[in-house]
Amino acid sequence: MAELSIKKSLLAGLLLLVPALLPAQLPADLEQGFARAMAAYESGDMPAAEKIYRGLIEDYPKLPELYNNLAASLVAQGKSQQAIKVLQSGLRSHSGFASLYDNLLDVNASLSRQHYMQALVPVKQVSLRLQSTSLTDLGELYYASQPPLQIAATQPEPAPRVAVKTPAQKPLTTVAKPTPTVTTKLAQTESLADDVPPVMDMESQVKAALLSWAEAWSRQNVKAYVNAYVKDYRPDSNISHAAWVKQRQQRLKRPKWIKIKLDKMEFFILESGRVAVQLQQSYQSNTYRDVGRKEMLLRLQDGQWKIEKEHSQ
Amino acid sequence: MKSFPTTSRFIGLLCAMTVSSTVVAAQELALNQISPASYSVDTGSLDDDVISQSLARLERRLQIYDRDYEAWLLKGLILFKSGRTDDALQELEQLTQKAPKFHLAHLVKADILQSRYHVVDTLGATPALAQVTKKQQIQIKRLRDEASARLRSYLATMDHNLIPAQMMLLGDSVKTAVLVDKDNHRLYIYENPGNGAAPRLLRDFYASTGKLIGDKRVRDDLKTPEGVYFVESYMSDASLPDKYGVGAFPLNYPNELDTHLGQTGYGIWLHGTDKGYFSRPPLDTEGCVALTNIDLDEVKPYIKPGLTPVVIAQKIEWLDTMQWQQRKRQLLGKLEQWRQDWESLDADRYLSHYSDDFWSKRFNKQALISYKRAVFQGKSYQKIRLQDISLFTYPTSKLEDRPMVVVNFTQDYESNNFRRHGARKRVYLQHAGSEGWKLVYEGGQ
Repeated sequence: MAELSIKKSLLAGLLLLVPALLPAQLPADLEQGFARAMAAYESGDMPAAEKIYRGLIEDYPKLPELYNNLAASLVAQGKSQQAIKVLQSGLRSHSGFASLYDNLLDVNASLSRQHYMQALVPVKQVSLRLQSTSLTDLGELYYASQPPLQIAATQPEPAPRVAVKTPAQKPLTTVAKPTPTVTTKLAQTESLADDVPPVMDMESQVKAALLSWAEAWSRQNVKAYVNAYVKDYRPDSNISHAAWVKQRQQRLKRPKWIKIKLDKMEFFILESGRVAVQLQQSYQSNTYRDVGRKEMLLRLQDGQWKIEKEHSQ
Repeated sequence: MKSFPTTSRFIGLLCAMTVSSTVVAAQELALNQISPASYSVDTGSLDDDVISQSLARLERRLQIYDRDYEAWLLKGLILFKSGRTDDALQELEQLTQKAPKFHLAHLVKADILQSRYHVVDTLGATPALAQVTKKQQIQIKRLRDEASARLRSYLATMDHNLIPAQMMLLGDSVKTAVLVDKDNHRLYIYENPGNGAAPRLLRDFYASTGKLIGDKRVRDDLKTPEGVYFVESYMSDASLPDKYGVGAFPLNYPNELDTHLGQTGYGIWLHGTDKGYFSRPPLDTEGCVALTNIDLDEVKPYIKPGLTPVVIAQKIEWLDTMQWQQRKRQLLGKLEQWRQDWESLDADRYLSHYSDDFWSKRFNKQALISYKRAVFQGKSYQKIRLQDISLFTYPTSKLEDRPMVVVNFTQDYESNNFRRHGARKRVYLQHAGSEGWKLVYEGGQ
């Protein structure tokens, strides 16, 4: 249906052109060819008209009228894309207009490129408003399908969070890669309340810290692994730091090999320089494999980003 | 395009003039290239009546609300589809200037520019976009879906003299109500003309709903629930995370029926859009209903927390005036019968209005029977007045596929030993075949 209506509307509005020269000046074969093509067109025999015009163009490649009418008979057959090409060559056949036409094409193309860019690069603006929030809040905010109703009912204190979404990242495979050098020029104190590093710096540093953590794990290097956590780290109050280290030592050393991959990281900047990271962690060893979402909280300790909390979703 | 007399094959014009007009005409043909009827939505060809009628309607929308950017866009799309490429381009030119963040507008404009030299019959499918990243492909698809939803629903709802069964009648205290049409991705604002007249369509907006199609059942199922809900509160920009945009209206999902059916989840809101974006694809939320921020601002004055109904339906049931009259009379008649039998002090007659499946916060059918019998014994008279009645046909038949209606009203009760005025109540009526409508739920609002 759509196709038919295009033909119809185009046919109805088509301009057919006639040679610009006076009849007396026209070569006889051109005049006759033209007459036959016109007759074919009017009788609706578009393929015949097309054929005649194509023949004439070979002999008279500089007559725009021929291109135009050829295009008309192509459009009438539904060959729109071909018609466009023919019209373009027609315009180019007229030397005076060729460059105008090319320029028009260029301007048009660059204008449409600009708009495509605007259509397809939605830049999410990051407005840095650091406010207090806890990891639990954050988990609820981003993992519950929606915030709990209580928030609505009680109208709590404004608590905007900053969500820094990184653009699509390549998975960070950490096996057999050199340790990335983490250059921190951050405040040496733990509190960053009045010296907050720029968002992007923070993000890449935290990413690097997580990367070396995953690498230590992949290399089954317990010391480096434990070192990725804050001093005296305990996953919860039921276990001492020493017991946790021992437990991790066993878990890290038991498999023949381990491969950790981190993917789909999202960074959330929290109070006083803490950063929460949500990521997908894939664990692979000779005995076990699994993929899951994880949430990690990191903070600066002696100028280094250390894992303070982690939990799986 | 003017047509050239094809019969006068040789015309005696001056050579130079003919040449220039020849080239201009050829260019005109090249520039006014193919305007695809299938662009954005395969509507087939739009006939001239539909085109002129819809353009006139859009023009009116723009006269009333100059920030109605959707109307600009639709005008451009319809003009383009109907072959008026230059006019379409002009509309899009203005739109992209006025709403520079409207990504879809940029895409359509770029397509129209491309259409001068290429056949563009699908949104964002031009040679200039032949090599885009995977991410951009997804973006294009999202914008394509949005364009299609906006235009399709606009064309589908051209004649609107029908009354939604989901919004049969609004009580005097309810000045406006919201109806969400999931099929068409449309949010309608209805106003109450008063005096028992049918609600009147005031405005309508594009709306995004849950990523997955279907009625919400459990937490995290990414579906938008269907039902009769009410706005509970308002959350301003300052109190919201970015992703909710300029404001949010939490709804009372799960309502009494949802809870009764054991549905889970919470936090179904009507909210805006992250400020980094202008709009969202039609199926994009985790269950909420999302508007653009501009539209949320437009909708805000019509919503009163604690009062405004938000009825969400996959498909709206439209009634003509006769059907509407009939159904309204039947339902109000049923309520009146219930009220009279209540006053009659005949407990059996009164209780016959309740379904065997009745439930409420306090009673099932058996408990209700014993309670009411005991209460009726102590009464020498009862006077009941029902006012401010709203009627909403339930969007889905969640209970055994039998039609259901939610009735909100204010109840004045007076008897020899008790009196309570202005109680805001809600009952659910369910159609039980030959037995007609029965009360299946009774409670407060």
